Amino acid sequence: MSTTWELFRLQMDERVDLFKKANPKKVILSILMYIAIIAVATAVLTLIFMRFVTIGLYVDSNLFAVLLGITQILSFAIALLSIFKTMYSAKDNDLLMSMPCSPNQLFVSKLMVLYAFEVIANTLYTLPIFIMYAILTDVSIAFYICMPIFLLLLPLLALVTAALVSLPIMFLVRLIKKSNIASIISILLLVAVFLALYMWFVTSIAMNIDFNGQQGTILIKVNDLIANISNATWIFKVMADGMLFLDDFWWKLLFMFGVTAVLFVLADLCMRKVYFGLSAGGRETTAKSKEGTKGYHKLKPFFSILQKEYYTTFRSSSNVFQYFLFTLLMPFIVYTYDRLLLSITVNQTGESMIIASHLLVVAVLAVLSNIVSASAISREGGNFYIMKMSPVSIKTQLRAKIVFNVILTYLALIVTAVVTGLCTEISVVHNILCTIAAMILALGHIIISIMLDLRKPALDWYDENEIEKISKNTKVAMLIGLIMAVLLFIVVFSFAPTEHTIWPWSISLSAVSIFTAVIVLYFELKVNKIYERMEC
Amino acid sequence: MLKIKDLHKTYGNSKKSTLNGLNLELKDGEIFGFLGSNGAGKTTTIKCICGILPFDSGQILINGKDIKTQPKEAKMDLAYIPDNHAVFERLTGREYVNHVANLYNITLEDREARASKYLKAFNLEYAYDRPIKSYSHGMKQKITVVAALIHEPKLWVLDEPLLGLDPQSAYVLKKTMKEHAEKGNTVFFSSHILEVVETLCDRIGIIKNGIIEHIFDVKQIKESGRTLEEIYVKYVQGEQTLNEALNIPENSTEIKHKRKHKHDKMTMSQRKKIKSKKEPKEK
Repeated sequence: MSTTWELFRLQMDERVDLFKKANPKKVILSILMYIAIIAVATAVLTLIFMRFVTIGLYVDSNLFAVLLGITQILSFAIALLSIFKTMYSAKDNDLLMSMPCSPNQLFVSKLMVLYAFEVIANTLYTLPIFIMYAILTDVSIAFYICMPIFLLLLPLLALVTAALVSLPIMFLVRLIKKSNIASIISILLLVAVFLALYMWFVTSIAMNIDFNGQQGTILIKVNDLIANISNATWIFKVMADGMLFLDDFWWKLLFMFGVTAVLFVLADLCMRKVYFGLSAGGRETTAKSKEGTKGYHKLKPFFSILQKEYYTTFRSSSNVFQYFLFTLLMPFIVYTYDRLLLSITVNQTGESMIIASHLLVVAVLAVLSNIVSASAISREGGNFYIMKMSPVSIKTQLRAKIVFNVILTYLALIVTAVVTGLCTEISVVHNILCTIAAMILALGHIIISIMLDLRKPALDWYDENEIEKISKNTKVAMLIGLIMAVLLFIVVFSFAPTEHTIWPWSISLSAVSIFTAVIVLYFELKVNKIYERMEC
Repeated sequence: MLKIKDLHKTYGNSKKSTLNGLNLELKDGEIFGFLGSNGAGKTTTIKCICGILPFDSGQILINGKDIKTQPKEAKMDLAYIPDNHAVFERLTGREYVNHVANLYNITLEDREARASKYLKAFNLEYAYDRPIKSYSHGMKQKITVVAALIHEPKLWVLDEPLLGLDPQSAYVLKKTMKEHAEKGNTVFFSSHILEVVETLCDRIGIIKNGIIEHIFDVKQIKESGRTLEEIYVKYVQGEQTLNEALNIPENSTEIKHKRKHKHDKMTMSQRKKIKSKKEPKEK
């Protein structure tokens, strides 16, 4: 057991500071922060649902079952991703496998790490729901007593289910990974299925909201929808009834514990056998060795760098979804948001609010599409010397990186504008002007993001995913972008744009253009100085 | 070909300088070996030469062009092989070489001819159209060499170039370095493999505490009847001055530079005397 515990500690040390005795203050601060987040989430959730109750929502076991279902699906997704990351593709596999421990000890230690993180994540969003439900209803005292047991059991259930599901997925992923196109198509299909479910859910709720109804009846039809979902996903209903100590709770609790135990044994038996086969194997042998483009093509340095950016980004499907998830989702999210907003009957001010809100969503998504620029230099890593010593000015090199991001963000904005034009009632004038405003804002934000990364790049990494951990540039760039988007929203909303008056939009577009022009000027004046001072 | 005058470099807010007035001049057509202990300033010097690191003061001229004031022109004559095999792993070998050739504006005929020549020499043709991430460490090093030579640089700088290479490839690389120098170009490389430095170089420089303390001709080693390893180790361990080890008059290999401390003016034997007085002998 001591070897397994040591292996567990070793892996946890790599991920969190909890086990490092050197810094107890940091440990206490982390725990307090965690509790504070749960407390705030509980308070916010309780207030929101208290408001929902006043407009007709029933807080009952059906709602609890639906919320439990949502959290457990989320836990399952987190567990599945963690299994791939920690079990199969972990960078420390090679190191740990060479340690003086039995394969079983290593396997168990990996499961313990996964479970620990699953408990931490699951508690973060499940506990606020439990407390909110307990505050708003008369739950049995047994619910309070058993809450810690449920908080330990639910992550285990999600983990063992994910562990079993991960096996066929892993084989499938290995098969699909042989082709990049197949890989991207598969992920797109998954995203499409998720989006279809999401849109069905949003539309169903939107259809059942009655904004013209009385105060206490606005959400009255939503209760039927929740009851239907609860009955359809019976497994969560059974679990919810058991946890709330409702009818026949003994059988239901027994069922919940029994299922977890059976799945646990099955997962342990299956994973133990295939784990080493799936996780072993060096990078050299697992790397794809299909052939690339033949012949030589002479390009100007600017286009050569642009091409290199395209190849290095799009030849990794995980990169595509890490950096361009919001770019890909932009048209869907904007459409859903517009559908919900436009279903509300509003006056003139409300119309201006809808236009400004549409712009806000588009601008926020455009800004989130620019995260690739906030790590444009960091992603060079050990190859940064090539940038530094190539006989091409830094401005040309950075312009290529900016244009790469601009092309993708602008493409998403144009597709979004087309979808908005075809599928919603937002007028053509507002649609075009919103898109132009978002484009100008996005350009400014891309330059800011790249300048942030140029000032403090994180070049010292082994795995590209580490950039997000060691650099704050992406987070800072996102924050700046969100502030910029909100400011643009305030400007546009303040001037109440209409189709028939030119000046409100003129002022808004001028403001965003001046802002971007200042950033472009800053880039042109400062970039050489920053670059010359860079030590790498 | 390369002229470094009074080069000073301090990293960030560090109080200790890494380079303290380094001076060096390399001739056309020579192979220059750069030796020094870990942390002596070898890689810093190399990175300053290549324009990768900014420096505080001094001047670096590559083929007469100042790396600070004429960086583009200076870099056109320069190629660098780092010690970490860093390359764009998601590109194929050909795409990587093509990209580098684009940066240096090389004609299609030249890139075809040069790449073919080096690929054949390094036996890398079979993997040229494969993604670099499928390459071994040695293959990555080879593709970096091919890309570095695609523009026939006048000054070729290599940092620990033989790390990870198989014996055959190491032989080819050494041969390539020699051939490159025979064309009138200059090769400047750092290495800890003293046998290679001894057999390959025309001159050797030793860096210590951020200054090049000695530059000597490889012929002098042969004349001394010792190996570079014997000479270097005795010098580093403080048993002999370099001139004593080489059996040549004092100061004949030393580089003139501004001395910061009186202590630096002392000979090795004087330093040893002071050291032995300060440290009481163990009972």
